[in-house]
Amino acid sequence: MMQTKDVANEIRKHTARWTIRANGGYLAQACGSAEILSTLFNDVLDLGKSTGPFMPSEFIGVPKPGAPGTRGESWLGNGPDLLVISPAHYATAMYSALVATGRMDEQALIKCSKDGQLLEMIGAEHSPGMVVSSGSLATALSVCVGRAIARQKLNKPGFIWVFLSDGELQEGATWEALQLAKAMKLSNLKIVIDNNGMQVDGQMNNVMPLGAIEDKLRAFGCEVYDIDGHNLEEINLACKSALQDDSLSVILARTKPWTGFSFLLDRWENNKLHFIRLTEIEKEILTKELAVL
Amino acid sequence: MGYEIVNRPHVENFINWSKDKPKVLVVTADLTNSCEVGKWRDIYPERYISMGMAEQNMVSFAAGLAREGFEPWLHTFAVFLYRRPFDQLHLSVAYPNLPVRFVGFLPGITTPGGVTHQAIDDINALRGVPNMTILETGDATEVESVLDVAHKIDGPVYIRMLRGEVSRIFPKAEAMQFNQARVLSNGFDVTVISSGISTEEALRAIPALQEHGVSVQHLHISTLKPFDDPQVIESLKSAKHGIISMENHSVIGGLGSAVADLMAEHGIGKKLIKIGLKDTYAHGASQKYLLQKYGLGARSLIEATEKLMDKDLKISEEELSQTRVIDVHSTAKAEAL
Repeated sequence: MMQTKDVANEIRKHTARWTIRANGGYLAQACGSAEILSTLFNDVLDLGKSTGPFMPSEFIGVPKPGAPGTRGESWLGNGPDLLVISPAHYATAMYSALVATGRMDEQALIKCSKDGQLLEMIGAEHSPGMVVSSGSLATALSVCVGRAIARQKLNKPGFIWVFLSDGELQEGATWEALQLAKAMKLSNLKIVIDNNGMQVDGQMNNVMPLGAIEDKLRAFGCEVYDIDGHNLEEINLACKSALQDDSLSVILARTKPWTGFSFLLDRWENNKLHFIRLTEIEKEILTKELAVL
Repeated sequence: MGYEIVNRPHVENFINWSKDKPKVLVVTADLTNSCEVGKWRDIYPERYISMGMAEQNMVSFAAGLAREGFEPWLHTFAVFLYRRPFDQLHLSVAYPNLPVRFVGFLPGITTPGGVTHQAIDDINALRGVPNMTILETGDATEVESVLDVAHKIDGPVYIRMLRGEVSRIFPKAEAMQFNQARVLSNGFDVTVISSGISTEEALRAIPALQEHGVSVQHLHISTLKPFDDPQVIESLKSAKHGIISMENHSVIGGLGSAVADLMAEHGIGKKLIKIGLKDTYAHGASQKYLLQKYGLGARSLIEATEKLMDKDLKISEEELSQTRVIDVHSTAKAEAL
């Protein structure tokens, strides 16, 4: 098994190569969340073996009566734990994590990202590692509250981990879901928020500031772990601690989505970090830095 | 005309029906008694989940329950089930084709609650949702038997549900059948296709039309999507003067539009008059007043027939069968609007 820090590195590398290949990608999301995802996969989650094919098959169709379609969940294994990525724009980071943790063939990143294949840029529930179709943001948490309650009723072991982005805290539905999770005293649901401070239009503080997120979460009754989202030890400790909580735990992981490649910081400052279509100069920098990462 | 009036048919029927179905859950958004599941909650407290006023969360939450093998029956007013949480309804429930049952009470102008409470475009909105099945109840028998129909469907179902004092128009033994119209009368001059409470209105007018020599083919619809029952297609073909649709909904996108689609697809080149809300909102008042004011009642069917046949039938108000009048504040609607 690859070391956690190496998994994080691989997530950045695979996503960077994808971004070069496709001349566009969600690179900053992967760069910000690399340590969170690698820790979850390597040190926290009890996912079980992947039941999805190592080389994914092609897209067989949208779900219909009698034909549920491919389930991206199968690459996450049979549990008992489940990891649900809410912001579907992190799909490439997830695909990269699946490759780095031996759940999917590296060649799939190339072969299966073409038209008619499963590795879509904004993932949906047929995409490997994606559980719900939550590209319209702030819906996955509600689904997970439902699954967590259902699993409680069925006496199923394990935890449902939901990965949220801080931008989703701008949506009212997120708070409705937190309100319910708290009222239900759910202890089998754990939340990690990638607090990267960015959204499509730029830095959140300029677009729509969230203010004191940790205070807001605490006011909703959450146990909040305010941590450095690039520090493997801090992430690991917070996750382990959250697993012991009886109440609703939220790990607020402060991240720098420009981590790994130098030109990303300029993009952060220029409010152009959400989606990266590389300029020729950026492509050169990225290629050079990728070689030594 | 004296139909048996059944008081709150959903209450006991749903309790009995749920008895041997442990995966059936009830989820509500602060309208539990108003949607006739207060007693259900008391009998099956472990299967009842209260959301508070949070419909967006409720819909995605229900998707989560369904993904783990449960069959959630969402109970709230129709208008709150599809408007605010439309995105969640599409992506959390309809896309994955999950067995979530949306039980929408007080469809159309059956509520005196006014514009905010009147679901006048729900069929229009939901016909465009892939994987969604749409059912509508027209009497107590259908309120009772719609449960089995919905339960058997592999995928999400939206139900326009009646509550309170509900007429029993169809014999109790004649349960609602999926995608199968009820043929209420046979004739060749005009074909009337009605659904929900509009069927009772149509039944007030049709005997008078027949008295005046009009031969009427009348079909009652309870499955609005899919909409391809061969009986409907045949009835559309056989109408000599034209077709009249009649619904408690906007004339855009509902039953009338579904009929128009079918006519076009089958090359049935006849006139169609759509009785319904004519691209307008309504306001808060009694059902009887609203039926009359917005032209949704029995009289509108007479007028539409006259227009299709180009004939003044001279049918007086007295000839229309008596409608029952439900007081806005009757005991059966003692709960909140």
